[in-house]
Amino acid sequence: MGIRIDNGEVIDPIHEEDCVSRSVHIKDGKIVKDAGKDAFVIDAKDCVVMAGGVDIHTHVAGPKVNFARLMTPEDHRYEHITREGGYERSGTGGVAATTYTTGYRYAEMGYTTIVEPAVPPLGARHAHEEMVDIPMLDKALFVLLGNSEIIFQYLEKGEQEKVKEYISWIMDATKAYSVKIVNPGGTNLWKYRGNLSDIDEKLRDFNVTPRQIINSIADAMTELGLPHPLHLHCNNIGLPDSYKTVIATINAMEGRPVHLTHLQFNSYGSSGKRKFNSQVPALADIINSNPNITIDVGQVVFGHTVTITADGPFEYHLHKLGGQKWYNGDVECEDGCGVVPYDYKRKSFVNCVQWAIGLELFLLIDDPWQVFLTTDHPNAGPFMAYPTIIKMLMDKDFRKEQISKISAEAQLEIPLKVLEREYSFYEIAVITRAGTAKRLGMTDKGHIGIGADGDIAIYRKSNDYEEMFSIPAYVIKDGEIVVKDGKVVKQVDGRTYYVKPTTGHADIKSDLEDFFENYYTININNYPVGLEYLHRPQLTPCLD
Amino acid sequence: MVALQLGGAPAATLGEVKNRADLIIFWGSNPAESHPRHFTRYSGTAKGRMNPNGRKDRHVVVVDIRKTPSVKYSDEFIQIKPGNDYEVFTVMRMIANGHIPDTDMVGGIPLQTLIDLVERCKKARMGVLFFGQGITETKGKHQNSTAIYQFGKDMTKHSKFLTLPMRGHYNVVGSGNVMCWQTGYPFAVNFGKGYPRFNPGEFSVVDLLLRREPDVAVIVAAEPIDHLPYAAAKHLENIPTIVLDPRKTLTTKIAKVIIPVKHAGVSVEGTAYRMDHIPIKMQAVLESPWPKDDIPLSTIINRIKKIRSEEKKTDGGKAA
Ligand SMILES: [Zn+2]
Repeated sequence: MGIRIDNGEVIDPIHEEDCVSRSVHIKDGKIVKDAGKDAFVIDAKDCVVMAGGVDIHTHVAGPKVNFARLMTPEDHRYEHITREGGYERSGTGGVAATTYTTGYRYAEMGYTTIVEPAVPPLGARHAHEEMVDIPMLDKALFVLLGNSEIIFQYLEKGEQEKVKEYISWIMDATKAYSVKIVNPGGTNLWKYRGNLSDIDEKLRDFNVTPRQIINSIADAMTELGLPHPLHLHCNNIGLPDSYKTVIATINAMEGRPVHLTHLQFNSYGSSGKRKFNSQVPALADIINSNPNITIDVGQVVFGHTVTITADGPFEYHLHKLGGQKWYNGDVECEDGCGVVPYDYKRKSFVNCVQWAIGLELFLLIDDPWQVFLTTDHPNAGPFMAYPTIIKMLMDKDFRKEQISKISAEAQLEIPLKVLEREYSFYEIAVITRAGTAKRLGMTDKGHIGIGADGDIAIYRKSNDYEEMFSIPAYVIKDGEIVVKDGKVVKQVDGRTYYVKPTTGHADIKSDLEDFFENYYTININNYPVGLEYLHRPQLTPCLD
Repeated sequence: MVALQLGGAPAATLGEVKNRADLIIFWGSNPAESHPRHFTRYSGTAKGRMNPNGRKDRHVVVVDIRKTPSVKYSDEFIQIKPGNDYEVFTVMRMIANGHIPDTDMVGGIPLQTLIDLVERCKKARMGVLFFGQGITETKGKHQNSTAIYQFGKDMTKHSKFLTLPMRGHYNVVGSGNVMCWQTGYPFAVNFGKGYPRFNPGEFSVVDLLLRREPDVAVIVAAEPIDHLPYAAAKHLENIPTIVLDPRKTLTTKIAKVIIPVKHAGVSVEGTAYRMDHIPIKMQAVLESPWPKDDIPLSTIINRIKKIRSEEKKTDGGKAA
């Protein structure tokens, strides 16, 4: 049976529809012209109707996420899910929630698609096993290649076609959707307890620089026609003057398409009394004049969280700063990972500047199609805080009230204090679904045109935007009502999206066999992840 | 596991050991007998990126309470008195942080030997301390692992240093991982209230059995009669037990119901997690007439669900 949504105001930025009063028809899991006479009718009076939310960057599955769960037992105690209604599986919450809880919590906010952005190739099998246990959502993963020793070997010899061929091979072997780079070269040096501070610095074991790594991989990705461009976590994250690395990286990209992830963590200067300040005005200027760049924010949320990243040296730095628990997990030949619990405090000058920087990125980047809502879950805070962040963007009085609660010293210094911009519903729809879906190249998502996926969120209009986006009236996934009044009424399983680029650019078979024999501890034949590990696998074609 | 929860650890996959480690310490671990391939594939003779000559490029130390068969593969053997691991690691942490205690011997080891060992750790390109059940199952238990992980963190101030447990039983890492992503906890999970709760010492299997709390047991691919303390195992003989296992074991002997199932990684494909958390796909190599173990389990669950819903219907929902 189909569904017809009547009397709602449709917000579909991909089709430039801004609060258009029209009906939406869904049948057989897709948006259609006419759902038929027997369609179930939802009265969406006083509601806005948007496509389901699409999160471009959230750490929810894989080995390091599971270490974060393991290391935060105290955090699971205060929140749990029991089996009732549509909640078929119990679980626990906290910032590093269990897989089922994660799926439910996203659906409860009207999200229907997420990307796990940081999986080392050797962790792909694990990540896919977890993603099967995340219900309610369509999913995809990015594979980490910025510290790949195979790629470094090819770069030393200038063998770009082999880099390209290897990326095709490894994406197929991991069933990945796109490629992410984290601290290019730096995590490799962490295998000697080192790091690097400049994009032209050479590695220790390889005659290679971060500039070469990002350019080579970005070019290969463009030539292979991957639907999402290079997803980049820059060097020097979390450090004063990291904004200079961002500028150097943008210059090094020379106009190539790139997504700079959780830019908040890289927007720091070293001025002011505390030698730590916001450099968002400078970065926003550059982004505003470089349409090849998109970013997601990584908005800080005050409170307890746990940080998870492939940036091994950064996590050690954070551990030394806070003296918290620290897990490190270097991955042979590929990458690394670190896990450190962390508290963002309103009393802390640095934390307050970080919090303000996130909001400044939203407010100073002019085009919402270039800036997306994330908390880099759970690094800057949990995704469950999205409705609160939306309220801060849409309601400047609420925002000012929040500013008045942070460290007085920070209040004086932050550029945020003079910003008056307020987001519209239309712009919120861009930064939470239309823009992310478009940048991911997921053409059936993020909009409500004919043929789009039947993934819809219906929010009751309210002046309290936090409440409005926390408790959708309805969420529809693949044409079925799965959430009513913010509660899951039906559990469904989503698809896993993957991309299989063309091969045959170079012969790397014997190189790979030698490399595995010499440096890996796993047989090459046992390495690739087969489609049997994916639930409802969905092949996404490359661009021509 | 508890030690990891408490403080974390500096770790890596075994390929990092193969490629870069130049100092290997086996502490309370006897790989020559317990993990014979470990030494050749990862830690001893394995050749790697910075260890092109294999064994020659590494210094291997064995610390144990007796001269185990692993000692003959080592460069250095340090004998420790039983039950003194925590004390020795505490002193090594003191030395690492620049405090030399006023004593000649610690846990049966000359102080100078420990000073030399710490110095060697500090200077290593990459040092790795593998610790085994000799540590985690003696006096102190998870406190010992905690002390080791803390030592690893202290060492990281000076050099690349890893502390890695030598896990024993087949795919215990896999079961810990699945439990963790589904419940948030790696073991000792109690669903009695309808959601996962965790309390080792209360909800762990030995404690439950000693209190005679369970009135039925489903045992999957485990050998509690052989592995658990006698008093705990004894309770299993007094309650109905359903055992899923392809083999005859001491546990199937006491089972009320035995359901033979396919052996994962032998007669049905599956995934097993290695001790360094890398999942490996296991192929089926033998035919077996029995079902995969998830089939009887889901049949039982579905049957219980059906009975429950029929009960609800007949008594008007009172049971709920
Ligand atoms: Zn991230």
